[in-house]
Amino acid sequence: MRKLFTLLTLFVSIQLSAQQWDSNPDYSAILKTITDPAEKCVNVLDERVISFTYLPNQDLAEDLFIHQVYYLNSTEAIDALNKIYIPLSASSKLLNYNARVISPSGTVRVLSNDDLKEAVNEQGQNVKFFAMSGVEVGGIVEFYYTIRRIPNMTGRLIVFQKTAPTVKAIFRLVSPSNLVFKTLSVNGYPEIKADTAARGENRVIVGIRENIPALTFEKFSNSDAHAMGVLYQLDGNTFTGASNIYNYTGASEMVYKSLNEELSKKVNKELDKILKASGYADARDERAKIFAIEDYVKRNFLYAENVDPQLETLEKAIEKKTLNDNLSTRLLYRLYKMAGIQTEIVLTCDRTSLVFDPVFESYAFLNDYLLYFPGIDDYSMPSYRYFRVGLIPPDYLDNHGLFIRKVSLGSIESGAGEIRKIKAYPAEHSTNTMLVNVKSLTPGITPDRTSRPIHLLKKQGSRISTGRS
Amino acid sequence: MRKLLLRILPVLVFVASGAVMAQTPEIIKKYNAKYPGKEAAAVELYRKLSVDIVNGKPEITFSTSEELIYLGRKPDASQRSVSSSHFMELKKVEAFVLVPEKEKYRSIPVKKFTESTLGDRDVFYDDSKELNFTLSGIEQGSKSIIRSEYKVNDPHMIPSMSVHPYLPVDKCVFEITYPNGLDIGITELNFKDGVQTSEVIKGKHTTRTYTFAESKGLEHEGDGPDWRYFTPEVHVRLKSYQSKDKPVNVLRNVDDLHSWYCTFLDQSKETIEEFRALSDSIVQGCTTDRQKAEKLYQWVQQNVRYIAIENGYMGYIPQKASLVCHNRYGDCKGMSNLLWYLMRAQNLPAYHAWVGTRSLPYSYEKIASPYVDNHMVICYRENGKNLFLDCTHANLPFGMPSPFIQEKESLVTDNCKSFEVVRIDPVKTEDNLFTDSVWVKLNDNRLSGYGKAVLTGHVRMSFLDHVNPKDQKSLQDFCRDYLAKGTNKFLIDSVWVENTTNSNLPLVLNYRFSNPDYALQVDGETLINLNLDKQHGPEKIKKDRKISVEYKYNMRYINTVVFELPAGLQVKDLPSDSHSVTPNFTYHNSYQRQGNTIIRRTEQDRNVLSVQPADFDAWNNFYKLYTAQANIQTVLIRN
Repeated sequence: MRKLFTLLTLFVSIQLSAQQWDSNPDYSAILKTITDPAEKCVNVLDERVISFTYLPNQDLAEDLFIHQVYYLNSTEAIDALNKIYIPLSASSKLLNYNARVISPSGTVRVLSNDDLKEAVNEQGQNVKFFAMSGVEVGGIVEFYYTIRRIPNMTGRLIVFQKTAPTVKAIFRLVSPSNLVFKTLSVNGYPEIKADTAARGENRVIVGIRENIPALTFEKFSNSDAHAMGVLYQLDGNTFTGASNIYNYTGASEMVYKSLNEELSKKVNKELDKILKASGYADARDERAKIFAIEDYVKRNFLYAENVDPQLETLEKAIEKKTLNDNLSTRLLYRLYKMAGIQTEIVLTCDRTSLVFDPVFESYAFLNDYLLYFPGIDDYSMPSYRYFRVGLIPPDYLDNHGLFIRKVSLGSIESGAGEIRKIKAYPAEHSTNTMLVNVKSLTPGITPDRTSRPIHLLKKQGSRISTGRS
Repeated sequence: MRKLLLRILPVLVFVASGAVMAQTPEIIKKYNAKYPGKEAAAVELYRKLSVDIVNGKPEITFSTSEELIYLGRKPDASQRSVSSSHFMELKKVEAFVLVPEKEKYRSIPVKKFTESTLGDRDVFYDDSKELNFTLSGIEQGSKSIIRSEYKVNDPHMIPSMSVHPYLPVDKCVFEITYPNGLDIGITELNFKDGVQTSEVIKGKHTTRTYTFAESKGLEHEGDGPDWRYFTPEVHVRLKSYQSKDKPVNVLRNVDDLHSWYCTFLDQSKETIEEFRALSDSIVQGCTTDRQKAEKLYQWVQQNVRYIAIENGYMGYIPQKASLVCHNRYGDCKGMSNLLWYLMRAQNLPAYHAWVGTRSLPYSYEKIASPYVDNHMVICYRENGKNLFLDCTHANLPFGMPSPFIQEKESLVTDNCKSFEVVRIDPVKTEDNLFTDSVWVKLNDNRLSGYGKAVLTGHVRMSFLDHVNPKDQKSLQDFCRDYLAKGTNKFLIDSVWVENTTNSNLPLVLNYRFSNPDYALQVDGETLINLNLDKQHGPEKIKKDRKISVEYKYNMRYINTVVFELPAGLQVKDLPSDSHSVTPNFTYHNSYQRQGNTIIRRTEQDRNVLSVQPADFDAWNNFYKLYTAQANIQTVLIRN
């Protein structure tokens, strides 16, 4: 979704609030509150401050300040936290950072500038990282950093609950006075309210939660989707009078327009060739037609992760026979349209990490595409190469989604969205049937379908042995 | 542990693609007939090494070229990368796909290469680089061609050349060019029939060429040795050369390798005195050398965390011991170096020891190059016996080598004055003990009882590597599988652990368990299988397996079941005992009636780390005996 929307730029200026830590740290009082002395790791403080600020050139920037304090009470905790990685994208930069280790006896050791290393990961993202020196069991690791990034105001989730318990979590969002943000606290995080203690012209909202229990993994549960967190996004601009800025009506129109863009004659010709090659015309019914088109594309196109963004057009994709997530949706949607198969675009999210809220409108839920076919009341997922219509990955079932269908007003057509549930398949949809041929290994005994196996064994004698050959 | 310098083998992942297209071009038909079921084949693999001496200095270049043809209907091989490092500097790379179009091929060159430097999170920081790219347009019948050229920046680091073990290869050529008379060593490994070797002298240079016969490529087999154990390889060493004014020795033999390694040790030299106070404080109260050595080893194990830093020569130079101590982290070299200083501060006979893990099949005598090893430990001499101390493994008992260096050679240096190549003996079977004893009774067909498992050596280490005994929930979850008894209805009611901190004491697991519906009731008789443990027996080896089966360590497993006869029942017929003794495996299974109990005792020793194909039949015979015994029921009748 992020790829489809351009960023909103507003022309007001605010100052970035400076963040710092106490130069004489004393966490002894907090450590006394830890009820379980055997706790391996405790997140003493998890503070996130999101500040929207105008740069001198009037561009808006988003600064994420992260301040973490961990009490490490086991070697596993040390191994997990003695290396800190700061992920940076091509468009974000590290404004400041600092880290220190506090030994059980209270000695403070601050990270040296030389300790910061730099590398590029496989996704081409810059990663800055450092190893924390002098960490001991019973000690504290504390670090903060601020990343300046292109603002995402369409919806972002900050997760506070993790596998270690958290003594204190702080969410704070600072924005220019004209920018109004709305938030959704999930899974028990307190409601975010205006910070009454804040001074100055900025609008500040805050939510503090103490004693967040550890997020424990339980069998057959989507633990991540149950983690406490805060979703935030821009809601209004008092200067322009705009409100409910990122709503599903706008999203539906935009997505529809993007997927229905006018194609060149050449591309249309190529699409026609693909349709013909798929043999859909000979398929017996609508489901078979949908399958034929999808099957042909998924068998004959490569799926690649790192397609050059400049090549992200249908024309290039067809020429190179290479697709990525977006292109696979674009291609299949257009093929179905050309074939006259009624198709709705569905935007949803992976339910194992995020539950789609049917009331709170946020682009944070619009992460992945499905295609819905009203004619057969079923779905396909273009980006998953090994799935076909009638079977989509289970992570995308039993969640809500934004269903976008075509609406026409005279000669003008557009997309209209509606929140609906993506139903889970019934049990009989996924079966595991075993046909077991049983052969007696005991000489002279033949299987008797009317008797239980144990009777066969008994006839042989007193000592029963199986597994002979 | 240090990584090898360059991954010569391309990482190719193919996903099975199903049926072949209806109209298969002739070339695909030909390859499918030749290499049935394969997703791709190498039309040609070419490696060229050129060693020259220019102005008295070695200049070494290495180039590779591969031409692959894709045979599967939908090959999944678009994501590729080329590796390089400080020692193997990438100078040129070229990649393109040839897509069949009518009678000819259309070329799609790769234009975008993305460099990544943070690939392997096992290594915190190193200088390895991956140049990633996407091969577009790959389909059945396409070809991809990747060519790369490197400059080798250190004459000790000449890369080896190998045939791809898993890919079918039509033609593979290695070419080595060097000035006539240059003192180089060429070692050929795993050569089979069909390798053509030629040597041509042209002007001032000699070119040695190896042309390998067509190979079908092996199938991946689980639990096998590293591919280097069975793949043809050529290692080239520059032994010595003449600089402008004098001869320079590089890697003539192990002496040269040792001397070169010692230049790295020199760079991290400190005074032993600096470590005396710390060392004294750690060994306080110890009265024997053994106690001191043990204390110091455990201190480093418990207080220094393993973080690998292998940036350029830092892959070879140990970090200074004082820095490791200050940082409380280090890699194998740094941790070993710190232990060395702490031990030497007590005048304990400690020695730096380089060693190759079991993934490397090379010996110092044959190759004498840094390719032989990738790890460092400390050798501690006690009463003429070498004990290998690996601080990187937190749960490894004192005096035992890590499982992955057993049976390997180690280059042990006496403070760079002299050295010795020492074989690391595997831990004896009886020292890796897993004794599991249970006392059980049957009530209303419900088997219940308590058990005591005693774990020593590598078995103890392995258990603690998998579970934190302080975390009761994960301990119970883990033990439900690890100690499973009877059927999958097994329930572990409670488990508690003794001796978790001192790695030299046996770890004791006490547990209570139950298993409903365990016995069978048939016409007034009760059938019960007293082989309650199905977890720790041998596994069958597939008849057509081509490579050895590897085990991490030798092990003795003793399982005793004391079964209390239910009131009113007696044994109808006690199963007979069975025994099997082979060099690799011994097995004893016995039943004994004692008072109102039946005692079933199983003892099995696995005395082998690598089961070779020649021993597969004997192994499977043993497996048959084991499974037959494991399924025998004991029959109980009414008094």
